[in-house]
Amino acid sequence: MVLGVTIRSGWASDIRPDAKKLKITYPVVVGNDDVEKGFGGIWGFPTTFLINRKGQIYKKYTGMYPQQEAQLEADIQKLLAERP
Amino acid sequence: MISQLRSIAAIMMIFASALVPSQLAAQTAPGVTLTDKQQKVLDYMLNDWNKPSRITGVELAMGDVGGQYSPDDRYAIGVFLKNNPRLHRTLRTFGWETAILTPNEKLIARIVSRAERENQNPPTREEFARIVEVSGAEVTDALEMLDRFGIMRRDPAVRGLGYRMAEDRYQDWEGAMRITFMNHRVQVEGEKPFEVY
Repeated sequence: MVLGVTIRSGWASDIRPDAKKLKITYPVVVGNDDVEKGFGGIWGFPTTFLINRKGQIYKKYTGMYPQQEAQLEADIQKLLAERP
Repeated sequence: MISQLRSIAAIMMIFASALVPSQLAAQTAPGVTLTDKQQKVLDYMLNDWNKPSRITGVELAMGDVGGQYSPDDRYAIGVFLKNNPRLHRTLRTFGWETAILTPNEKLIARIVSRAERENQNPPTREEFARIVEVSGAEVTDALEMLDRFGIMRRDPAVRGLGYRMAEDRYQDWEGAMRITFMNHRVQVEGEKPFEVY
């Protein structure tokens, strides 16, 4: 499951048209300071968190870089292979 | 939420900022009335914010519009912006503070907030006057304006300065896309100065 969290992008009414324009099909929610703190702070956009079955942060990826997609897929496959 | 997460094999959460220039036009905000000359400044700012990356603040807008403006004018416009985030996405994204404070007020707030985070005493008023390169009276004016806006508050226990940040969120305000107490002023040849995020 992919969940988008917007930070400092305005209200839901601001973000809804952007999500449509960008053809984002996964759920997008509006984050606040508490959400940001709960994830240990966000220092760049986008920041991606991979969450495991236990609801724990497995890995944090800051920004976008070459090989990131392959790295993400490998990490997701590794988590999916773990026993529930 | 954690129990819900446990039932899912893997979740990828993407934190992003989806800021794009607002298409919102200036609106009439209920409950607060600005004078004509204050309204001119507000209109100038809202128009400026519709341009990419722009966030020209009140002080610079008053200078660009021209005419005589007092600290009370800036306070009135500031309170209006604080009370009316519906006016523009820029306010909803970056907060009202960055749009209403002067560069010197932001610098003082930055230094005090950092000192508090690091459990250090902030500079005294005399030290601030040297750091900011203004008179002692201007430091006092800046502190009083920060107090009026509820960003700092008087506290005699703070040795030398007598003020502290009014809320925890003003101590711990830094991070991606946080420009609360930051100031980026730009001057392009042949154009009026403006501020950007």
